Amino acid sequence: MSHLPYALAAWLLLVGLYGVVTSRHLVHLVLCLSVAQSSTYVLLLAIGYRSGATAPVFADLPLGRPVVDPVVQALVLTDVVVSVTVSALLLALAVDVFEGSGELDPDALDTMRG
Amino acid sequence: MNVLVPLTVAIPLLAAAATAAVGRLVPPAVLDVVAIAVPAATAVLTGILLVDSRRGTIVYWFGGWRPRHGHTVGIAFTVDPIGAGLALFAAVLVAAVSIYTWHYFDETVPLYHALVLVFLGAMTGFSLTGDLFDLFVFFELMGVAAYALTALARTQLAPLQGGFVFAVTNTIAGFLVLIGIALLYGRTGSLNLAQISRSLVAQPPDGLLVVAFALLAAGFLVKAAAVPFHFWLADAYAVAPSPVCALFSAVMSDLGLYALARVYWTVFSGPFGATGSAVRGILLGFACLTMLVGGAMAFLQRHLKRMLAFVTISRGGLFLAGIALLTARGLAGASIAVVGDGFVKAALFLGVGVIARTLRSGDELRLRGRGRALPVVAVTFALGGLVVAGLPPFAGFLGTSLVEESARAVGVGLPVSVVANVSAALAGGAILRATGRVFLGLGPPEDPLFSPEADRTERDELRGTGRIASRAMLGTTAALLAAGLAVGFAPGLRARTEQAAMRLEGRTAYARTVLARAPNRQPAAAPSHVELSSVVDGLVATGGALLLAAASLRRRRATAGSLRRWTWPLRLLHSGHVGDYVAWLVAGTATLGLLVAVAAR
Amino acid sequence: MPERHATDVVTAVVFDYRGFDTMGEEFILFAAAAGTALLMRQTRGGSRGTDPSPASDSLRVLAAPLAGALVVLGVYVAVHGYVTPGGGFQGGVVLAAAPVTVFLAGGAAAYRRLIVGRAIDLVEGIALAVFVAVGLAGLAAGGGFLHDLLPLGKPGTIGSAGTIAVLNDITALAVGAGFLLFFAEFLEEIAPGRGR
Repeated sequence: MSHLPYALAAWLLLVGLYGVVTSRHLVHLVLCLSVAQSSTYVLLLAIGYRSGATAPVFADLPLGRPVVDPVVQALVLTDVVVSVTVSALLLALAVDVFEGSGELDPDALDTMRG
Repeated sequence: MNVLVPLTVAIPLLAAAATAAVGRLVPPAVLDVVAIAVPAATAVLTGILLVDSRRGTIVYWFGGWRPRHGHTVGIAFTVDPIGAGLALFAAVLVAAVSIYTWHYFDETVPLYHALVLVFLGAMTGFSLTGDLFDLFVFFELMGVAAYALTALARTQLAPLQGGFVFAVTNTIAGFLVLIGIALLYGRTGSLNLAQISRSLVAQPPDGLLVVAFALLAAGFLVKAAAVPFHFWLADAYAVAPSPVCALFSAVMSDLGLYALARVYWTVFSGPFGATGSAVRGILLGFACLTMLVGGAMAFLQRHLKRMLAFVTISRGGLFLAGIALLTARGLAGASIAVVGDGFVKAALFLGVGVIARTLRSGDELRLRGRGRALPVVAVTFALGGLVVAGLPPFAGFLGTSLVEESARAVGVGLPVSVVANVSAALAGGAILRATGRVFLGLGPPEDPLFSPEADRTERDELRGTGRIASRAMLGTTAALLAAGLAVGFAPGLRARTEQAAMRLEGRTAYARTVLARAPNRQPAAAPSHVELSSVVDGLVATGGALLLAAASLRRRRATAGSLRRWTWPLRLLHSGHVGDYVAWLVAGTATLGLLVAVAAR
Repeated sequence: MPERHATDVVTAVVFDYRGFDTMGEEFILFAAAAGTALLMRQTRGGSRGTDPSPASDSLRVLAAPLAGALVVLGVYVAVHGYVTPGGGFQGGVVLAAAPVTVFLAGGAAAYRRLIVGRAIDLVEGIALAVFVAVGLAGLAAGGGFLHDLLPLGKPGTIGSAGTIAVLNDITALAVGAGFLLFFAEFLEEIAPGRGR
């Protein structure tokens, strides 16, 4: 268990970023960004994990049982919301770009050279 | 606890929510008043906090969650003079820009005001927080509001592209920061800066800390637009509406640098203390590169806003240099320059807005000679160019001189001085050249140094026939310029800013204040005065700027042609392609990481 | 747990210990929704696409009970957020899925009969304003921003956890409204409503 989540997080990040760099389609780019973002979820949750512990909900647990770190889960929750909302905004931008130019290929969108 | 602290963020956010909810039901005039009153009120609050925090850093725990048994649980705001000063600066600028936009846009939708208010709340929170994850949340909040505001002129392609590039690069920056935070949390179990600071003090800089630092630094440097993380800024600031650009340029970019300074000093200065000079060298390298690339590219632009965007990048390099020196004096110099330059940059962008509104263009060549009817803007540009070039005794010079002095004290005086003054000459020269061409009609009508670009101005800003610039617009432009000029004359500025800088850098005192509620001892600043060599440098740089501007306006075709060939590779790099920018981002982060790793061995 | 009587510690962290972060995060949602609305409204020219072809019969048969089930699940997950796993965010998203299911089955017209566009803006804005107001109330009561105000109740029941409960439910509304805002804007692209 030990290093696998971290390796996974690194892999997701790199794959996602690679996708963003080489993307030929704006929507694909946004999705690659999502993949890269999910690396942060994995990393955070991996950090919070304690072996042998259970979910931090005490509705049916006696107090004092070891639980995984709830703070990290709260952070991931925030992270997910942020990622999703930014992706939505980016997709809105992509839609507008398409409407304005009929193009979604970053290579073809070069209004800003120099 | 000081009740005002949470209000600085709560009030703008509450106003934003209310505006969005009922904005359509109230007359537009009410919204305009709210848009001005709320930032003004926030400015008052932050001003009070600034004065209060001089006596001692104010600590505020949200929800009443104070640390127990020496362990932090809740979120803290730690208000010290530099943070409060930045928040105040942000609020003042938003208020001024809101007055400006009274007549600027043809119609403002309630959602625009809501986004600006959210942006203000985020900037304030960012400057005042003492919690790493909270920093991240406000980083993202600032970003999201900014992305939407950039692409406001959505009927055109360029603003959308600018917004897209901005959003992609800054989002990636955001989660680089988040990964850094996650690593630090994993190591120390806390998100509170003071607590992390204490936990890490004695540790050697091992692999995890190196990676965390590289990621956090890279993320903040993207926001600050240091080279090679800067590409997005030129694209975004060239197409956002001018009043929005004013806000971005004057405050938002500098907040990235503030975060870098804050996080470095509280978290990393302990473990990295021994490798301090290596870290200094690395960051200075990025700073010098930024100053030069920014200055050079500024000089090559014919589009006024894009030119100012590169000026912003170049000045940002100067601020980064001040921070990179890792001294109180350097940080003080950067702070003074941030405020002084910030007012001036804002005034310049607002001036460009006036030009766009009345003359319906943003292109230097097309505007040649047509600016004679706008004396206020002409003066703004002329004085602005001089201040940016470093004319004594204004704030740009003052900041640069402090940075130079500090550089000399740590042995890198010559390279820093040369780069700072050359880049100031380039940046100031670009502005002065534009002044000459637009307002005085100097220079040839065609200039081969510029590439033959299409006019990229945003038509939404230019709707309608050329209008007379309203008094509000001219008034705020002039007022901001005046503020920028006045900053250099504030009494005791050097000493007080240096004291504030020492406070920010005082890691152990910070931790003690936050965790143990011990009062701050005020460190005394070493007495200092402006050195003659700095004055000479400032005058030389200003002279250089004027010379460059004049030379550029008189140039013969042959030299222009060869210059164009030399600068062509640099321009090619700024391709407008988001994938390229992200590739540079990754490369820059990796380089930073490798350099720090080598240094820390 | 003993301090706030909230058995789901994650939700307690989200709305109490780190409640201020959550407030910031909700405003991120708000800003993105406002930005999307700002970007996508008023851009549209004439109608572009037609309503996607009607769904198959089996989908329509399933949609109504599914939508209903989603509402119940959403409310349950949201309201019980501090007792059992779940919470305002999770519940809010599930709630938002219900009208989307209606769209899948009945097309844009059915969706629009259900959700009045502008009302969503109102809900979103008000929900967020209430969140901040709760924080300010804590301030006014002398306890610090977002300090707990309400009686804590018995742990393990809906009536527990004081202010966490209020913030949690408000969040569900804000998140649900926010997601529907996004959905509605994108829907306008492919199936423009009349009279826009």
